[in-house]
Amino acid sequence: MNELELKQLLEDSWKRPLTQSEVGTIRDWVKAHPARQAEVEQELALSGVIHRLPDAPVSSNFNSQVWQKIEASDRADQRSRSRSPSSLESIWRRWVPRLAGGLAILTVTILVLKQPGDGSSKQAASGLAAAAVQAEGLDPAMFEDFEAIRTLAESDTALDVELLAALQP
Amino acid sequence: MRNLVHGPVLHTLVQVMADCLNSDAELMSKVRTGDREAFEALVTKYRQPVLNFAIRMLHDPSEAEDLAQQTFVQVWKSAARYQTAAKFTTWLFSIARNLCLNEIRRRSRHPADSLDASEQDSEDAPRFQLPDPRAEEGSVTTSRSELFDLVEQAIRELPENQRTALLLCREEEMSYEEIASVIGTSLSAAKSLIFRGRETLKARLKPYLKTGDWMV
Repeated sequence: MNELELKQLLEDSWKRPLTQSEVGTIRDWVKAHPARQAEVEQELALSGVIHRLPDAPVSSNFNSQVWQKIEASDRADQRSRSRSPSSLESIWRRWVPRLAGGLAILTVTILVLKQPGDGSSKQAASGLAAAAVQAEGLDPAMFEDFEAIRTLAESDTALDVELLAALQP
Repeated sequence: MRNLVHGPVLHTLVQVMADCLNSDAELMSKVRTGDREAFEALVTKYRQPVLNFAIRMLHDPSEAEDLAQQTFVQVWKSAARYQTAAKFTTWLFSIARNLCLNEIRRRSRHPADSLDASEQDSEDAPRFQLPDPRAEEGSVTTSRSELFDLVEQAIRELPENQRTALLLCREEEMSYEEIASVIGTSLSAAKSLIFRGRETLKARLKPYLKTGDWMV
C-alpha cells in the first residue's frame, strides 16, 4: 500500500467503519512506517469514536406525532386561507382606505386654499348689500339740483379765498 | 491488492447506494400522490439519522425531536417540489439543516429562551447525556462513556458549518458531493470543513485517543 492508498483508506474511515481487512492493511503499513504510527492511530481512533457515538433515543410515538403536526399545520393553513380575502377583496381592502385618505387630504387642501377668497367675496357682498340699503333710503328729489351742486364744486376756489379775505375785518 | 480487496466491497456499496436512491425516489414519488404508507416508510427509515443530526446541532433533546418531526412535516408538505433527480437524503438534510439554523438564529435573537443552555455551557458537563448502550460492560465502558461525552462536547463547540459537515459525514449514505450540496459549498470546501473539524477534535481529544482501543 502506498501513501496515496493509505490517505484514501483514512478518508474512507471518515465516512464508514473500516472492515477488518482494511484495518489489517493499515496495521501492516504502520509496522513498516513506525514514525507515522501515532498519527495514523489517532486518525483511526477519532473515526472509530465518531462512528460509535450512541444514537439519540427516538420516542415510540415519533411517527404519530409527525402526523399530528401535519394535521395541525393543515388546519392552520385552512384557517388562514378562509381568513385571507380573495384577490379582488384584498385589492378593495387595500385601496379603499388609501383612496379615502387621499380624498380627505385633497378636500382639506382645497378648503384651506379657498378660505381667503371666500372671505373677500363675502366682504364685497356685504358692502354691496349695505350700499343697496342706503340707496333705498335716499329721496330722488335730492338729486334734482345735482348738476348745480356739481358745478359749484368745479368753480375756482381762488375767488372764494379772495372774497373771504375781503370780508375779513 | 487494494483493488482486489476493495473491488467487491465498493461494488456492493455502490449497489446499496443505487438501491437506496431508487427506493427513496420511488417512495417520494408515491408520497407526492399522497401515499401515507410510503411517507411512513421514509419517516421510519430516516427519523434516527435526522434526530441524531438535530440533537447534536441544538443540544436540546426535546427541541431536537420537535425539529426532526418538523423536518418530516416539511417533507410531506413540500413533496410536490421534490425533484426525483435529486437524492432524497440531500433534500432531507437540507431541510433539517435550515430548520436547525432558523432555531439557532431564533435563540440568538431571544437569548432568554436558551438561558438553560448558556448556563449549562458554562459548566464542564455536557448539556445532554446520550445513553451509552454499552454502559453495563464494566470499567472500560465507563471511560468510553466519558469519552463519548467529551466527543459530544467537542463537536458541539465546532463552528456550525464544520459541525454540520462532520455530522453529515457520519451518515454512510451521504457522499461528499451531497454534503457539499447540503452546506451549499464546493466539494473541496466541504472536505476542507471536515478535515478542519477533525483536526480540532483530534487536538482536543488527543489524550483520550491514545489507547488504540478505537482502531476498528
